[in-house]
Amino acid sequence: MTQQRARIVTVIGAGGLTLLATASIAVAQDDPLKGVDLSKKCKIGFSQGTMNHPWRVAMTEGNRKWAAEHLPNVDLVITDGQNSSAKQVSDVESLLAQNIDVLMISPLTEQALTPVVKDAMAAGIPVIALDRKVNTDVTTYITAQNEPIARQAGEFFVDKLAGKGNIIQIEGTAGASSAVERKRGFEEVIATHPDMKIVATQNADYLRENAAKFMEDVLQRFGPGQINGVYAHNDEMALGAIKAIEAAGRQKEIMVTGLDGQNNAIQAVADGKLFATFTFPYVAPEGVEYAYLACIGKPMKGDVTLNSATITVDNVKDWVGKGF
Amino acid sequence: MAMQFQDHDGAKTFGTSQGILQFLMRRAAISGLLMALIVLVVISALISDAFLSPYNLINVLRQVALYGIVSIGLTFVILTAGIDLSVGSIVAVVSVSTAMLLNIGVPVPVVILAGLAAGTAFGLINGLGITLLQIPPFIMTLGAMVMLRGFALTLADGRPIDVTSTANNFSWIGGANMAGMPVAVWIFLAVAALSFLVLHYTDFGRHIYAVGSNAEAARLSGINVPATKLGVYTISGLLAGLTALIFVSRLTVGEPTAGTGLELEAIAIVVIGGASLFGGVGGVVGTTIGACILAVLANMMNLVGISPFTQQIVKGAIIIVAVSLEVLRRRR
Repeated sequence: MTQQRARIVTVIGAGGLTLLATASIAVAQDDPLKGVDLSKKCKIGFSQGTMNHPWRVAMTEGNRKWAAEHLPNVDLVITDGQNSSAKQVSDVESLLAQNIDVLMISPLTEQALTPVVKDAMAAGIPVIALDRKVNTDVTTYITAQNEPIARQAGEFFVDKLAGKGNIIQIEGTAGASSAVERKRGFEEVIATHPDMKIVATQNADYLRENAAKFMEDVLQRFGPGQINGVYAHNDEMALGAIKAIEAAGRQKEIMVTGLDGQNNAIQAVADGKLFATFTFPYVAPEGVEYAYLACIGKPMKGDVTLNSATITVDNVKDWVGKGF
Repeated sequence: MAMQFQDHDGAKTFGTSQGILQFLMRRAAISGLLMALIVLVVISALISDAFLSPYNLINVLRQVALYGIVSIGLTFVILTAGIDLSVGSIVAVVSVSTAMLLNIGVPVPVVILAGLAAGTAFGLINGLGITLLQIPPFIMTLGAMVMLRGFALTLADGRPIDVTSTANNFSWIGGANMAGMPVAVWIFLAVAALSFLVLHYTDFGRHIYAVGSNAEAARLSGINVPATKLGVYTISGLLAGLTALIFVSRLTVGEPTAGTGLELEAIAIVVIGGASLFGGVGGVVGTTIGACILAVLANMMNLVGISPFTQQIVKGAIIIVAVSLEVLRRRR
C-alpha cells in the first residue's frame, strides 16, 4: 500500500535539525521507513479522539494493523476519547504515565488538548498530530488538505467537461472547516473558466438522504441536458445524488464525483455508477511510521501533507477494498 | 481518611437503639467499601508497574476530584430521595459562559464568583420547580438538563470557546499543583470536609437525613421540608458550577458538550458509595470512596489496555453488583 501512494513531504517547521537522511524540502517520499533500521524497541501511545466515523476507525485500525505487521519491536497502545475532550485529556495523561516514547494524537478539539500536548512536548516526548492539530508546536503534523483536493476536483471537472458545463455542488455541514475548504478550492478553479457555472448549491450536511432530496429538486428545476456534473463534498452525498439521478433516468448525461474514498464509493466507481472520487487519506500507516522515526531520533519536523488520489474507472481496480 | 462517627446525631434523629444500629451499619458499609478499594488498589499495583508511579497516582486523584465534587453535590440531593440529572448541563453552561467572560477580559475573581453564582442559580431554579411547583425531581432536572444543554450550545454557537489569552491567570485552578497535589484535589478535599461537617454537625444536615428517611415524619416533627429540598438542589448546582470552573481551567476551553454523561457518572459514584436512591442513607465518606473505586478501576483498565467498550461493561456490572450487595446487607 505504501509504494502505491505518492506523498509529497512539505517541511514548513523552522529550526531543529532534521536528522532524517532522505528528507529535505519538498521531496516526494513513498516510504518514510525505507532503509531504516527497525530493531529499536519503542512504546508508542496513540490517543484517538473518537471512533464514531468509519474514517476514524480506518485511521486507528490502519495504524494498528500496519504496526502489528511491519513493526514487531513497537508496542502500540491505543486509547479512544469516545467523543469527549475531557476523556481524551485523561487518556493522554494515562499514556504518559505508562512511559511512552512517542505520543500520536488525533485531537478531538484543538484547544482542549493543547495543555496536555504542551506538557508532553516539554517533557521531551515527541508528539505526532494526525489530521487535526492543537494550538501548540508538535513534532510532526500529518494531514491531507481539503483545499488542494478541492482544487484537484475542480481541475478534474474542467478537464472532463472540456471547460464548459453546468455543475451542481452539494456541500457538507455548514460551518465545518472541511466543507468551507472543499467549497473554496473548487470554486476558485471553476471561477477561472467562464463557460463553467455552478448553477445550484446546497448544504446537505454530509448525509446521503439530504443529498438525495436536494438532487431530486434540482432535477426538477433543470431539465434534461441542463446539468453536466455534480460535485459532492463527500462520498455519502454523492451516493445520495446518484440515487435521485438514477430514479430520474438521467445517469448517462450527468457525471457525479464524491470525496473521501469510502469502500462503497470505490465499488460504485467500479460498477460505473460514480464517475470518480477523490481520496481523503486517513493517515494510516503514516501516523505510526512517522512516530517510529521520532522514536529512533530521526523525527520529521514540521507538516506532512498527504496527497489525494483521483479514483476513476481507469485505476479503480487498484483501489477496490483499499478505502474505509 | 479515618473518620469517627458520633453516636449522638443518630440517637437524636431516630431514637437510641435504632440510632446505634444505623451507626454500626454505616460503619460496616464504609469498611466494606474501603476493603473493596484496598483490594482494587492492590490488584492494580500487581497488574501494572505504572500504577503506583507518582504521576499516575496524581492522575487518579485528579479524576477523583473532578467527579467527586459533583458527586458530593449529588449526595446531598440523593439523601433526600431526590435526583439531579441536570448537573452535566449546568457544567456545560457555566463552562461556556466562563470562557466567554474570560475572553472579554473580565477579572478572574469576578469570573469565579459569576460561575459559582450561575451554578447556584440553576440549582435554585431546580429546587423551586420541585418544591413550589411540586414537579417530581426526575422530571424537573430532566427538563433542566435538556434545556441547559441547548442553552449552552446556543451561547457557544455549537463550537468550543477557546480561552487562550487569559489562560495564565486562570489555568492554575485546574492545571497547577500546590504542595505537590493538583489544586483540584485540594478543592475537592475542602468541599468534602465542609460537606461532612454540614451533614453531620448542623441542623440542616440532620434535616436532610430526616427528610430522606421519611419526609412525612420529618414534616410532622417540624422540619421545613421544602426549605431543606431547596437547599440540597442549590448545593448541587453550586458544586456543578465549581466543577465547570475547574474544567475550563484544565482544558483552557469552554465546551458546550462538557459534562455529557457526568450526571450518570456521579449517580453511579454515589450509589456505589452506599447511598440509597430512596433517601436517608449515604454520606460524604461513602461517596469519596465510591469515587476512588471508579477512578482506580478506570485507571487500571486503561493501564492494562482494556478496550473502552469493555470498560463500560465492567463499570455497569460493578454498579449492579455494588448495589445488590448493599441491598442484601441491609436486608440482614
